[in-house]
Amino acid sequence: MHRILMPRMDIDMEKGSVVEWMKQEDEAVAEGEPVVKIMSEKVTYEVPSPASGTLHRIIALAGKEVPIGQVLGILREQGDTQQELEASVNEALLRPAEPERKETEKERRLAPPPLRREPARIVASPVAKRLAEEHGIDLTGVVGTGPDGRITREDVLRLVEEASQFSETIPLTGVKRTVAERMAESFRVAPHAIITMDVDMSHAVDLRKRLQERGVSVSYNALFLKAAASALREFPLLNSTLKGEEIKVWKAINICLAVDIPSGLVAPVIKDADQRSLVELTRAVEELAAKAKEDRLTAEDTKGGTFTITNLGMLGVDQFQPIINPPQAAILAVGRISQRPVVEGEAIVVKPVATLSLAFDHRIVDGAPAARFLSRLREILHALEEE
Amino acid sequence: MVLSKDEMLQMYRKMLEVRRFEENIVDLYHKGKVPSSAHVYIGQEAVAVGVCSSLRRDDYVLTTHRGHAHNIAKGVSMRKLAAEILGKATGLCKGKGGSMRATSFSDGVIYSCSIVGANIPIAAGVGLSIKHRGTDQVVACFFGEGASNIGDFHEGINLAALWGLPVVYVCENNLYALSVSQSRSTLLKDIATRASAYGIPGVVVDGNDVLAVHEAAKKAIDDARSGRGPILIECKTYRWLGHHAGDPGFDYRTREEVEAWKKRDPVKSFREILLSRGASEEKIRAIEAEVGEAVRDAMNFALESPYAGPEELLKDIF
Amino acid sequence: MVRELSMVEALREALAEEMRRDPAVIVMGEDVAVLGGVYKVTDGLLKEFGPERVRDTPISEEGFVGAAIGAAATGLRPVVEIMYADFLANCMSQIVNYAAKMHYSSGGQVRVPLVIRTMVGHGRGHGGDHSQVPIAWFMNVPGLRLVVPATPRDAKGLLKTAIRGDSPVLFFEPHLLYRTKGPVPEEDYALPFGKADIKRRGSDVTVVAVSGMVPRALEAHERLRAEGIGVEVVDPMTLNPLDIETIVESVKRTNRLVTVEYSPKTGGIGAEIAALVVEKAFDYLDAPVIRVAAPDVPVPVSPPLEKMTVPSVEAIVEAVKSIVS
Repeated sequence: MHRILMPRMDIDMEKGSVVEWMKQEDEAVAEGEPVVKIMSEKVTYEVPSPASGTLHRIIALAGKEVPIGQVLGILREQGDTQQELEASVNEALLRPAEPERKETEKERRLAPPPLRREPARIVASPVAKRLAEEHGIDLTGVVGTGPDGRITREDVLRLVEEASQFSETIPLTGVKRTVAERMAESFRVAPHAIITMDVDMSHAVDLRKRLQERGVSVSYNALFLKAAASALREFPLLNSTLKGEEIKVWKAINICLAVDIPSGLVAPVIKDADQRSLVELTRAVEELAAKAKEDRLTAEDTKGGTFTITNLGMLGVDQFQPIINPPQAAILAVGRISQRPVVEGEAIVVKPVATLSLAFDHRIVDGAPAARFLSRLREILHALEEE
Repeated sequence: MVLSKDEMLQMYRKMLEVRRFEENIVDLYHKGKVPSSAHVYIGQEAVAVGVCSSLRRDDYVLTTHRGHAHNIAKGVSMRKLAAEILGKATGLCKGKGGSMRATSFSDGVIYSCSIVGANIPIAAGVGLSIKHRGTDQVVACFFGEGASNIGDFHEGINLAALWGLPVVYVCENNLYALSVSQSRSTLLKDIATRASAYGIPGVVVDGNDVLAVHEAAKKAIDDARSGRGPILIECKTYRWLGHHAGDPGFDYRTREEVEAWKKRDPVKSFREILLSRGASEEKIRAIEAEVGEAVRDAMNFALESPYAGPEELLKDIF
Repeated sequence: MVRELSMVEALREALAEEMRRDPAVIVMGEDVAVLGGVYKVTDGLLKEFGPERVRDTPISEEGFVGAAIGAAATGLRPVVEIMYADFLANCMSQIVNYAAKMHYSSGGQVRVPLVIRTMVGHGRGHGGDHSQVPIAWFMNVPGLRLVVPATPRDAKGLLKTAIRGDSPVLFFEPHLLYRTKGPVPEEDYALPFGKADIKRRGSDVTVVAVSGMVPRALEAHERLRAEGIGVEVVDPMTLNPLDIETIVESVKRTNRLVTVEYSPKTGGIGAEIAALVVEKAFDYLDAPVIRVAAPDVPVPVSPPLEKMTVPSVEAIVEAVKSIVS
């Protein structure tokens, strides 16, 4: 008998949620075969079976949040006794164990088939349960108005009415939940100040074209990454974190790039962005974006970021105010490159221009250093070349 | 009253039928073919036959768990009786009553009551029905001396007596109620003395003498039929086997006592009387052969009959 | 103008009419003939039908019930009176082992068209062995019809059906309602067994009340209606056969069930009805089934104590409220 436990994907992980079970109860499983998919704040992961056997009991259903190290399911092996299995199930469900007793031969033969799994018990009257089932209402976590919180028929009818207002329900779990929590926290804790600059992207555009003609493909994100990484080397205060009473400057420059994926928002990290070429940066971004979209990011991919770039230009946004990715000091928002009228000398010319917005934690950085950083970033973009 | 030779031969036939039938039932019981207990009448044949030979076809009988003999004596089909004892669908009661409740209403055997004494008030009721309907039927009610101690005996006979009902109560005193002898259950030597407690006549008869039983029964039945009932007849007799087919009966009786009663075999002694009264040996042998055949046939019929199907379970509740 | 009779008068009418209709019907029991019955139910029958058909019996319940069985098996239709239902214990063997079983055990040969009328729930200081309502004792015996009328009209109609039928019947008459008057039709009518009567309609709680408790359930209906709670009062009329379908249909509409009886709760009538409803209408229940019944005690004589053994209207109202949110 084995317990399938919620794995600890990284040092920060305290709990995960069950995404889906890949095996059903009473289905055979081989050692190492994926048996359940879980999701931490940052990654999804297919938990392999600790041994060969049969999935005896699912303890944590899909959607359930489970602290690390706690039981997700029980694996049954040859030679396991009914008693042993029941005891572990009971323990996992936190039910009081039945008193120890020897099963007679007769009892073993007459023992009824194991009950269907019992999730966290929903206390509802029979008619309430039936109505809920008929209307597709999930009663998990609902506390009713009946005695001892029993869910009554009226409660369910009210839920049905409420539900009828909504066309869709999206649970706030996993990535979405993480993002929601972190955004709220970040906004609450760090005093955000924003400065904005328009950047003439003609040089950058030209660079890309030249490289393309040579058969080298380089993305705009790579250009921004490179420029930001170089600027951060000169302005290390924007590559720091506030820990208690101390501002700690990071040694490495690991820039997160915000990626939009079906389940929400992730920010995989491009490590040592200052030490990579444009081509390397392009490839890294491609790989990470692909992984993100396929739900294949590992913990490695998402940890250790020191600065973040977020780009909504491809979606037509000119300018926006981002929220800092804690515990970082600043975040750069990149808008759309558009043809704009620009004054040059006495004339008005049309140039490709992008608006950059830098949000920074005013506890760590003041306006002037931030402005200087952004200005330097702009300068670098005006003169960027591939080594 | 004088019995014709044919009438006597008929009585002999009946006694022999009872004897052979019961012997076969005991045999089948020990072979595991009888689902319930079987309480056999071997040794007491003179009582059932002596009384029932005086009954008309339309008279009624109420008997007990030891009631195979009364059924046979009243003319019930031995095949159907045997099938009922074996619990088969072709039995009198479709196998639902068994040995202890063998009933053939169309033959006038209203019911066999397996709780001793229960038939005593019921018989009074049958008598009440007869009186109410104004027919001249009679009901004969059989029970043991043990039953004469139970409440039903007193309540039932009191009612029959009070209302003057056409009931002939026949107490078959075989000296033992299961393992408890008469002397250990009442101070009375004769159960018939209890009759006077209800203001009715009580008669004691040698239960192993079929002619004596017949004579006493005939008188009682005639009295009852003419409105002078009820009457209590006590027949002193003995059962050769134990209380039921599996009980050897020696835990509470001595072998000497059993042997002594066996010497007074009512069937054998009646055979001798028949011969002494001029019946031919061939005639008697012929009857014996016919009876043997008929009983064998009845047993085979019962053995070969099927049990009732499951759909029978819920029928006849109301 | 519909005439009003008491239950005693209605029963008496039923008996007289059936005795006129069928000469096989006879009446037996203690003090039924000369005295006309201790509660006067058989008053006047001796005069009209004579001592052959209306018989006083000696004190011997097992004896005269057994006799009634024998008479019933051979062509008569006896109606036996057991003065106090407590005395049913004295003729238990004849009823349970013979009347109930003869038809079945004889493979259908014997019929026992017997009616045993008995008075239940005397109370009023009569004590533990003269006050019982021993109906549930017989629910567990296959082969007996059990009739529990609560109004004069129901009593007359059901008694006629009992007498005319071919099965053994225990007919329980509530002393509490003997003198209660109610409308009774003039014409000949008989009420069928196995058809419950919804005496009041309501949509919040089904209350199944039996025998003497029916009027209290009706009173509870009125009080609760004033408070905006709709109680549906169902009178089963017979407990064998039991019209469980009507009760289940009602619970499917109200989602709640309260049963009311004035016999002890444990193993009582409500227990059987509750189990059946849970079995057949589980997915319609919005609250546990509540049984209002007498406490598990022998009935004492002292008036304030005795009162506690018969469910009051308040008790029914409280029971209903306890399961209505």
